[in-house]
Amino acid sequence: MSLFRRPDQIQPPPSSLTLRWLTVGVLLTQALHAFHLPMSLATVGPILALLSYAMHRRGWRLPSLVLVLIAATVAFAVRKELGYLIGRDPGVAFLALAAGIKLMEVRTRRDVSFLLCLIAFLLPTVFFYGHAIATTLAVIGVAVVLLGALVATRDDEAPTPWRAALRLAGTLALHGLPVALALFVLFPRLSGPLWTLTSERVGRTGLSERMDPGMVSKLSLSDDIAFRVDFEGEVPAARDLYWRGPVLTQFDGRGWSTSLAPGEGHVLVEQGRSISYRVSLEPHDRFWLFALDLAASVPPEARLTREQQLFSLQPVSQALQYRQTSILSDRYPARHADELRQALSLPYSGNRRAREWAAALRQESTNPGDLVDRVLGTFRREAFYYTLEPPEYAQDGIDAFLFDQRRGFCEHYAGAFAFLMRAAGIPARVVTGYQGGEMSPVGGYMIVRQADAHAWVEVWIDNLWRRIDPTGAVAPERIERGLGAALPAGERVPFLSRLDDSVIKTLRLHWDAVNYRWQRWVVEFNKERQQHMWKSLGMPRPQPWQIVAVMLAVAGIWLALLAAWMFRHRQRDPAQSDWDKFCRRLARAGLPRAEHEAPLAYVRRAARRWPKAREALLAVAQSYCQARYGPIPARAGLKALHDAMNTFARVPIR
Amino acid sequence: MKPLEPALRTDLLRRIQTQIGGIVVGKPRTLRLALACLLANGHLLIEDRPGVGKTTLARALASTLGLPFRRVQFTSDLLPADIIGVSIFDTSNQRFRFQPGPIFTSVLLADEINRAPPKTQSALLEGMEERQVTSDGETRALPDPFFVIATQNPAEQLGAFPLPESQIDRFLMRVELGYPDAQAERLLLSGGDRRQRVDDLPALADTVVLRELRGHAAGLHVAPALLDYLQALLAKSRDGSIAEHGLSPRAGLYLLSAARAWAMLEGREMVVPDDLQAIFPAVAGHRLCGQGATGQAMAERILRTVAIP
Repeated sequence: MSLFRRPDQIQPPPSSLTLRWLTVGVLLTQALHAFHLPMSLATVGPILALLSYAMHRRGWRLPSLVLVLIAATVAFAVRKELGYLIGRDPGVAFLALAAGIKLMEVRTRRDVSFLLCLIAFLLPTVFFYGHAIATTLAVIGVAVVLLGALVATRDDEAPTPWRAALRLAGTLALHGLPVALALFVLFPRLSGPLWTLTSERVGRTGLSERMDPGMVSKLSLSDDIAFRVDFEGEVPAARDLYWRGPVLTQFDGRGWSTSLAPGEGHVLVEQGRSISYRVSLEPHDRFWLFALDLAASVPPEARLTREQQLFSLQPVSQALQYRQTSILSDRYPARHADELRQALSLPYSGNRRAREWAAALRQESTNPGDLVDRVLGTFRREAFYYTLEPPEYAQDGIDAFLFDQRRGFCEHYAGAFAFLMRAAGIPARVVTGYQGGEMSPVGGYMIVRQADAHAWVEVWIDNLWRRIDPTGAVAPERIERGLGAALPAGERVPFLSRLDDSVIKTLRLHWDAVNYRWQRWVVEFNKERQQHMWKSLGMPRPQPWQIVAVMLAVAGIWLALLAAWMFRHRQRDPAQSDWDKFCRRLARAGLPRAEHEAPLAYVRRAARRWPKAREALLAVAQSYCQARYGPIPARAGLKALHDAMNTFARVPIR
Repeated sequence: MKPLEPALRTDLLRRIQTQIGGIVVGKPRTLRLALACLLANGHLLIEDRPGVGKTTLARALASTLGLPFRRVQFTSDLLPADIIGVSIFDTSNQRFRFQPGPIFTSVLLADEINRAPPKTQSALLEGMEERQVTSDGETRALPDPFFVIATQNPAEQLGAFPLPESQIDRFLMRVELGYPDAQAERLLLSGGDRRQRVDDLPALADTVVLRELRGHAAGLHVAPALLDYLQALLAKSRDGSIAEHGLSPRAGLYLLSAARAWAMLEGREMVVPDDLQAIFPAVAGHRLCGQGATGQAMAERILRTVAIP
């Protein structure tokens, strides 16, 4: 049989077995794509595939024109659901549906091969949408099924049973696995993402360029992981864990946002406690990176703004890993005058009461530090509440928050505080990011979740930017022990931020540890890691021929091992090894088998010597002959042989 | 026809063997080989002295299986036409009419085949191979089944034309009957007229049943492990250590079909090394030649030296 035959060869239609395999292959692949497709497309695909199967069963054939119409309709539906047609995502969606249509017109062997190739092409596109362990395992599983389909359908005359086909496919896949691993590790990596088009990302949770009241509290309900951190050395205390993200300098009367063109900055702090760590950032499709206050180094392909915020030169659309050094400090000098000017600007009107209070405070205070303390003292003394479920603040939200409702989450406190400072003539800005993090008891690394999202304020006092966290005045537990401790009892707390140690939480942490390793060692195996590996192999800059040679060597060694193993295995037919055991027992009893002696002749000789064991002896020989020479399936034959051997083991001979 | 039930088939084969065993006493193994030879659709060569029961065996086989039987005594003046038949001018309707010779039967006993001149031998042997004969430019098919039992005097006797190797190769098996042992001989001597008893034997089968049995034997399962063993035997015969000329690929095929027939007679659904060993000397013996030793002895030696894989 050859996969590619000339079309002029007349071929019988595919058997129902072949069609079943194809349908299963199409359905499984569509199922993997269902996770990222819109609901409607995800259901249409399997319906088309099942319809095709039913039509084949009834022997119906659609004219090609109808098939073209169906394909056009599907293309139209994709265009409608995804908004455009030429691009990666619609292409994938269309292929996933087209596999079901192609199934309708499978007539010849060529069609079968073509469809299997199409599915095999469609399958790895699942990796556009995720690299999780489960995804990878599922793709491998479906690939094995496709291989099984190839095995089972290669000969319609003598079809392979599905179990045998899957077993063979699994074995072949295992045989290929080491070579695949070698290629994964050795094949030269491309430095940039080949396929990633940032515009096609589905919306992810995370911080943004703008902070409106209610934004951080919404984020705090998410258990999604923002990034993970491996500390080199001691882990800083929770109150020092301020992960700096977007710095918001502009207030428009309602929310805070970043300045459009953040200026270039430098590392400003050189002295203090230095902390080194490695951040594994989940993709968030934005440019910013996170570092502990304050960054003392800049990762490659990144820069530092004058607000001391790290920016990547590329949007972080894939998991990213970088080493980072920080110096734990809550103050730093500024270099630019317009930075301060910007940090004073306010809208002309709005929030009148807050402005009046700020003016009054300014009158009372001796210096900016005093003013800060007065405001924080008010927060602490008076009935301000820290809650995840603040009321909606609309017009003059800061006034409403400060004087009427007094219920808010960190963005309310930070926003109102910064506003008061600016209104009192003290430069101030809001910093968003994450605060805290949870040490994984399993992996020894820190997990920072979206629930740890936080907002605080930087205020210009005594020619230094100083970090002031108004949330700390209201709910010091938030800073010391995390969100779960800070919220009033009865409020909805994100599951993993709760303080208890339930089994499920432990399990999830274990699972996260596994995922993290996967992320670090597999998904993030990039060009730098590969170069590092080559260096450790003693080839800092491998030539192409060296790479090919190493690949061939690995493949050759594996093939040799495999061949040796198969050769040994061939010698050791399980029935044969049982028989050898049997012969050894008789030999110990004084009746060795001559090498040329046929099994039945041998047991007849033995039966003459031990007439009482005759039945058991014959049973062993007969079941051995069945297992080794018989037509019955090997497994059943082996079972009978084992049974006979066990019976014989209880029969005394000597 | 419908295939026989396995139990029925086993029973039938057992009854056939018992019935012939009652006539040809004391030779169950040779008898079974002859039956296996017939069931494997091959021809049988019996090499032995006159009077040991060759004719009785052939007749008992034929009548038990319900097959027509003919016997030809080969002599030095026997002509091919004496076997195949001649065209005779029929005066009544003014045309030649073919008078079929004794070869047109199902079981043919060719007695003392090595007494006939080579041309006559060839005529018979070609019929055995092609299962058809040509006379006066016309080809006539022989009946199916067509089974030749040829006997041959030991070569040292006078006036014999020994069969050439290429022709002896046409026989699936060569067996020796040998003298009966004392007990069997006593039974023989005390029994009645055996010729009469052979004629009275009831037919247990017919050509249709025989064909079905043959078909079943040809379809018996042969495992790769058994083929390994067969190939090891063939290789041993060819490596020059025991025989001068080894077994041909055709001999390998013959070994396989004979082993299948033997396995069916044993009531098995697959072929095991025991079966191969049982038929090996009979099938391989007359195809092996070497210095001094007889083919039979060499076949036995091959069996003893090749380990079962």
